[in-house]
Amino acid sequence: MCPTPALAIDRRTFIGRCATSGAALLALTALACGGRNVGDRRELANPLLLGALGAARVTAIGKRWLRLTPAERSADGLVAAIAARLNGAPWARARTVEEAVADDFEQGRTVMVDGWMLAVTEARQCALFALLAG
Amino acid sequence: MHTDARDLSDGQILEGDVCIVGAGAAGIAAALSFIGSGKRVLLLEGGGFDLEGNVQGLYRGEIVGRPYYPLEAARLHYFGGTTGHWGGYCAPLDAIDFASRPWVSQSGWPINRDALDGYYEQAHPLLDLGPYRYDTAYWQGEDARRELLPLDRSVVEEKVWQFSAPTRFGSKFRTQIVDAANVHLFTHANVVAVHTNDDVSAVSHVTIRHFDGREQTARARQFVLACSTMQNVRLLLASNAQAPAGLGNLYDQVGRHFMEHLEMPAGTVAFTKPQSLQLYAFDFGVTKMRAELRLSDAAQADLGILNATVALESPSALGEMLSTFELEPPESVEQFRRETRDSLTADMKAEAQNYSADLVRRNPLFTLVVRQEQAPNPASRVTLSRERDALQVPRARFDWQLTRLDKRTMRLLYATLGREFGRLGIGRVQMRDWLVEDDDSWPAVVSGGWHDMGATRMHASPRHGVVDADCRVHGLANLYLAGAGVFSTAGAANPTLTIVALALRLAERLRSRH
Repeated sequence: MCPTPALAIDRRTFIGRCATSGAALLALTALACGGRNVGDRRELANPLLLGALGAARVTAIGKRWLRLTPAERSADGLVAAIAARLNGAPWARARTVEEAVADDFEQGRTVMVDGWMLAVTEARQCALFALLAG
Repeated sequence: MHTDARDLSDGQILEGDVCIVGAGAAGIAAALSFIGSGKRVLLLEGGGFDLEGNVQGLYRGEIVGRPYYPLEAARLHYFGGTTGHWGGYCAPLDAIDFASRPWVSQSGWPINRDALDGYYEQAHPLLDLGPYRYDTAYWQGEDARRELLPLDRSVVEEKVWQFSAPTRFGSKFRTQIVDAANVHLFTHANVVAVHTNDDVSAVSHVTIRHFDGREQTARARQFVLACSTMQNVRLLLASNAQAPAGLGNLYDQVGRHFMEHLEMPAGTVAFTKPQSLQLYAFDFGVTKMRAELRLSDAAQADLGILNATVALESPSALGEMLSTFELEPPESVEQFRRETRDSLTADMKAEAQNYSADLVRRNPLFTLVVRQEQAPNPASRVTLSRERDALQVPRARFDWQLTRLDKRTMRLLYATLGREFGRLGIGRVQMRDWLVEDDDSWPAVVSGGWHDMGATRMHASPRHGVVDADCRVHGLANLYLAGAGVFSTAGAANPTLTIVALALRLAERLRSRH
């Protein structure tokens, strides 16, 4: 009956918003990473959500994932699990993290963490972020 | 013509061709339709031209089911009715709303969407809406900034809404009604009983009663009850002098299948790519249209769920958006009504204009506000209380109930949006914690849209509904119902546009009868 007004958002606004979050660069870096070179853990630990949710919320999601999946409580284990999703057949181009996440959604490999519907790959990214940040 | 019924003498008899009881959106729309028709119309309104405490108090009732708004605040009892505090949200029901859906018990209207299209179009100018166009292509043509989200429309598609001023019928149509030669408006004319002939096959007259006990009688050839869903139920059930179970209630249908729209912020989206949301944006009092998101008919059928739409709205500056049960105590309702008696106040308009990019920059998240029909449920019902109002009419006893399908619908709606937004790289969706579990539990904060629907549903059979396809009460030759009570199912759209369309359709049928 007494609706709350909503807001318009255009591209310029969106970019401005991301810039103020201070995390856009990390998020965009995450888009560009992937491939077989997974040596830099920090590249994998940059879920796309970081730009929108910020470090605190992503950490909370990551910690929740760690509690839900005891087998993935080490950074090494998480990196290996993420990398496995990036590397396909030897002759195929490696997936980017974004492609792996999209494929997770396409194939129904999703999880609900703190109410967020996430790709399994990005849930692991959040967990890795939480571990590295902690 | 207008007469304050308090000036009439005790026992006076009023006579007309058509008697319309209730001057809200439905009653006024129907009465307007009769102007110049040659039919003598009695328009009986229980209140005056402004709210009065004792009149509004007649709507007070018992709430025994799920938490609900105070009944005396949910509907307004004066000339113009609840258009005095509505929000102006308008959209026609979808074709699927009229269909019999095997996965929704008691679904299906005896009419289809095509039967209402012409009346929807006629209703548009009454509600100060734009052209009768609800396709995104048209509105994109009007403003190129209205870009579509990159959705897979076999799963998720747009539902276009238009926004009324919001039009206050009491202000807009008062002069037109009062000046009409063949419409006689009686204010302070509370109808307390409907009387029939001996074999209960037709209505003969209605009784008007005043707080001082005086009474008048209104006689007509045709009667239309347009007092709001709950008050129509109350009047039918309380009119039990000749039919012990009440009028139109041979099969215990009057009052059953009460429906609300579940309307609340139950999720959040975090966009992960730059995207114009101009098509989906809304500034209250400023925006003329916007699109919300709905699951396609095919997706609803695949999932076996109800119809719903989801709006993208900015979250509260305080954080997570709240349901109206968390936000709106009754005194706020009254304040809102007073501030917006004729339209939005200048302050409200200015405030709406100020909602621009600044807030968005501070918070990158959008709230997903659901508007969802509830499944027809015979246990969700209005009956009569033992307590009586000041006119000695039993008060309403309201038992609002939801079903497992209602929750399943909301949960799968958000889950599907989450999957699609993720799959297409649009963003990520979060649902409220209480929605995650696949059960039939609901928190107390689940709120409705202040819409009372059903309870006198339209159905071809008196065993499953109260009125037929012409809105005529089963078994009574000349008694008709107007308002959202006749909705067989609620759809996801707010009810006012459909209420007005159905009232215009009913009036057209009555005009053609001799």
